[in-house]
Amino acid sequence: MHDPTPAATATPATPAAPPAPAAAPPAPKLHDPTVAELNKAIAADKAGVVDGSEVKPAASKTMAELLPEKPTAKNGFVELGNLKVEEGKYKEFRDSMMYESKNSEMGGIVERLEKGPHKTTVTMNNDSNNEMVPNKNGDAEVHWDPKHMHIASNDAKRSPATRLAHELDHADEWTHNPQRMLANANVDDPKYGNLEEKRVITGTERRNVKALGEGVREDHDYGKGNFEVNGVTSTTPVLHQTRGGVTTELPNNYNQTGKLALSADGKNVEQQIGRGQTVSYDRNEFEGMVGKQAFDKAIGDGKPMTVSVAGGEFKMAEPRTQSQEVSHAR
Amino acid sequence: MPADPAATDGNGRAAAAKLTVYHLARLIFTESALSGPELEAHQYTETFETTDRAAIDEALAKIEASNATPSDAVLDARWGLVFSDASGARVRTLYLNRFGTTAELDGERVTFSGRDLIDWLRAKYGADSVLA
Repeated sequence: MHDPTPAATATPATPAAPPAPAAAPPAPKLHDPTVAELNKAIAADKAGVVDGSEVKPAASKTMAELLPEKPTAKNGFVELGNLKVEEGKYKEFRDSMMYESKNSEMGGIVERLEKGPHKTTVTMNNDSNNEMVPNKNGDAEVHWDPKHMHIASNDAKRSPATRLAHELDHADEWTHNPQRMLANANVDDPKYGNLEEKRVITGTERRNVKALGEGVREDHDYGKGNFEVNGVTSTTPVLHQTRGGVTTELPNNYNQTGKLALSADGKNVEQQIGRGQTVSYDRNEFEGMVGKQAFDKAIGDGKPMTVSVAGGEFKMAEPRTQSQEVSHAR
Repeated sequence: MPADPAATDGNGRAAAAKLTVYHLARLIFTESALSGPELEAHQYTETFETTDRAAIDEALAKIEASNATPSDAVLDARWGLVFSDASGARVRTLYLNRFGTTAELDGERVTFSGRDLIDWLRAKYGADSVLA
């Protein structure tokens, strides 16, 4: 879209008419506009590029009232006005929003999605796919993984619930401020990717994590990656080991020394721990937490390394020498 | 999997026998930026392959002309260009954001000042940020 003015066909501000029998028009295409084009669009429709300082209004009801504990479902979805949630994971969705309601903005977001002019449909997955996909008819799709938290590049940890809240803010923006969202999305940002991500991360997300005691990230980067957790409000990764074909969770005081090597398929890190025994760790979990550079060096050097688990994270260090052990014992 | 620089002549031109282009055209908002491997695996990503020598050389030339500068800018990958040799081994890998400004070139984060590459990609493989 070279001209992001209010007349742009991408906006869903007007509800879509019933489908016509003729072939659908081609999907609107949005290109990053020039600064002049963007300023023109903003001035024309008063959309305004906002940052995270805009505090969203609270709801007129409590979160428990907005999200009943046992709602009726139809065709596999709980339908609360225009908010549709996959029935099988409604409990996880509700638990998340009850948790996030420490920031009153979240109730407002849920209420607006329920009363909104367009549908927001929330479906779940187990492959760390957390995203909001806007549709040209004004509806929004939210894809959410309730099983994985994220560790940002500054080590900030965010729960699955907080990741859902992030996407619901995007959905709220799309269903109520589509023009502003497109304007923001079309501005490049070196830390946040675009201004719509910056609006959410420095806005409701930051106020959510501060209220909840979770980590505050400073960018939108992939960071250390996605890690499995037990529960939607957890920020403590569950790490795994496989020994003799049996996979178990690693305890927090885990400590093992031995050479590290990649498995034949490259998916696991194998550690020789003596007496011919090998323990293997999930490569994504391990490499993400110790860092690529340290990981590559340890694999390349082939020297024994001490692998430990503390605070739900893998740590790797050179083994302590005997003198260090004695010194430590004193 | 990162490219093997030893298999290249510095820019991959001699070794590259196939170009695979990954493109996530649809407008989506992910909770954390998409990494290159995530882009390749995403359900909405389209994949194009070519063994046309001219196209491969043109793509490599566009990358060379993009004035790559080391950077710590965030990459939210929407394009991927993977150059492979005759055995299928990756000899040069580039992931690029949708603005054509931030990239990961053979595992190194860089920024591009030129627009030739992104303009060429859009002309050849389609627009970005499409609403469906």
